Amino acid sequence: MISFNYVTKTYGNGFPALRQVNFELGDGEMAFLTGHSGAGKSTLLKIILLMERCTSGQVIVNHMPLDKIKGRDVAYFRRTIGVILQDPYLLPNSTVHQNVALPLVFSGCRHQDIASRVRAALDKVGLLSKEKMPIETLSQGEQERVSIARAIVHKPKLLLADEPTGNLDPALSTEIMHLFEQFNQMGVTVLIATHDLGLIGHLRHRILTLHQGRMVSTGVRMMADEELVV
Amino acid sequence: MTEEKHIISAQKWTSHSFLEATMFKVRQYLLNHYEALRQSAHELRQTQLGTLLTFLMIGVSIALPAGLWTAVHNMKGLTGGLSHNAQISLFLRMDVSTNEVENLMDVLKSNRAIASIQYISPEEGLKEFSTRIGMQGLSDSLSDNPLPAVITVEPKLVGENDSELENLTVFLRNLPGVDNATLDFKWLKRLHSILIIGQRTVYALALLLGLGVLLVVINAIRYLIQRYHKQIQIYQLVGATDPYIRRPFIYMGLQYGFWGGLLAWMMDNLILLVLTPSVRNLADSYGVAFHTPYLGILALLTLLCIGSVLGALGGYWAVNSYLRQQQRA
Repeated sequence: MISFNYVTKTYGNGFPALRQVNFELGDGEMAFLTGHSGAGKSTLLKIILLMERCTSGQVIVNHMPLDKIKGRDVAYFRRTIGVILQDPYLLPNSTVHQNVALPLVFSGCRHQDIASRVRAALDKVGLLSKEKMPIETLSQGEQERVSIARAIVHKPKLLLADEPTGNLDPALSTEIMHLFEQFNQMGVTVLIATHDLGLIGHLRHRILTLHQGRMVSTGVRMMADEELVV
Repeated sequence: MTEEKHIISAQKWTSHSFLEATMFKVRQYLLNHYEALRQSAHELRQTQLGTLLTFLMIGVSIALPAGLWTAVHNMKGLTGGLSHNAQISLFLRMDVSTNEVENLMDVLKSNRAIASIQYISPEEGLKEFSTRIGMQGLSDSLSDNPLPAVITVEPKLVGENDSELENLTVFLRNLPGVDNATLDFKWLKRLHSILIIGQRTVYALALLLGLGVLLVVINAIRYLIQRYHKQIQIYQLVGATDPYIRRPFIYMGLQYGFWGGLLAWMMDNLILLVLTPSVRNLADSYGVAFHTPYLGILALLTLLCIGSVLGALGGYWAVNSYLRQQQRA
């Protein structure tokens, strides 16, 4: 699903955010991307989302080399991905329904389909009862779940999350992680960037660790210990 | 046979589904535009004072060249009237006999370039002159009438061809019994030249102020884009295309231009309403018919079109440069 081949990203100011990064994430796999602040996690996700272009190397997502995707096709590419960010990036003056419906509206879905799919997505994140409520009236945890509903409403094959539990308390964070696991069990490939090792310690998924822009490990954490199986 | 039926039914289904899909796409396209228009109108209502000021700025920018154009256009109409009514005065020799005058009148009447003639005897001339200067007893106080007989000639030639009028004047001046012939046309030519300069100035001004409208719209839209920066980011993140993002801003620009054009039309008509009585008096003093120069429906439609097109162009330019900037960043 995702393949990084010797990917380097250097920003305009000369700062190397990623250096020769190599890894692969298969279809239906779930992985965590960890590392300290400034390690390059967000840059890596931005490259997958085509919010940034890599300086060298090759990135393939869903069998598509990203360097072949032209500017006007970026929007169509992004419709194949679900994105969740630390700041939920929701429209403040709109309702829960309007926010979740956005990807379907952009894809040109029929009105009836939009209504049913939005309700299905909200049901999955437990917010069906708040469909018509304005976003401002929701708690932070609920807003995060709206963001997740928006990311899955168009049934993407790939789900990317950047610090999705950064603003949430531990109980809510665990709940959110369980949601991601559920989506993964439905066949969705999931890549979550987080620095909360405590949260992912008990989850048995691959952990990709970045350190100063380099991928230092791509293994599976067995338990809560630090040992990685590469 | 059964296979054929299947093929026909499949073809029908294909054409039907194609038609349905096309209809759906068209409907979706129109809905997107309607939604963008609604969204932009809502946004303009949100920022009432800012929007009103922008409307006024655009209105003034459009009203100025439109008003000047109307003024120049009307002046051209007036001078056109003057040149059409141009007269050549033939001052006859003091010693001209009645027979010579009659012969001269016959020659003039038979000339195809002349529309009409009028003979003014020296007595009539003196009487009219006395009346004009307000000295009714002037003829009594003079022992001899110093004025010559005059024949006023109205040429058939219409305005634009000045040289033909001048040639006719020269021809008339050389007729027997004629002492002098004058065509007071130079001031009219000067006025024509001034009007041509005025017209060109209006074009230059229209170009500059059109650019001004464009800049006002671009500035206003850029401000709105800053306000909607996060929303645009969200839209881009979840797969909105550039045309989708551009559309509401283009409609905002279009509405700025449209309402600006309407205001310009109203402002110009208001100014014309104030100026018309004075201009009419001036025209009357020259004996020229003056028609009310108000900007009508056609002018309104033209201003609305110009405003809307400039506004939409400004909106497009502003949002497009923002999107390009983002891509570069």
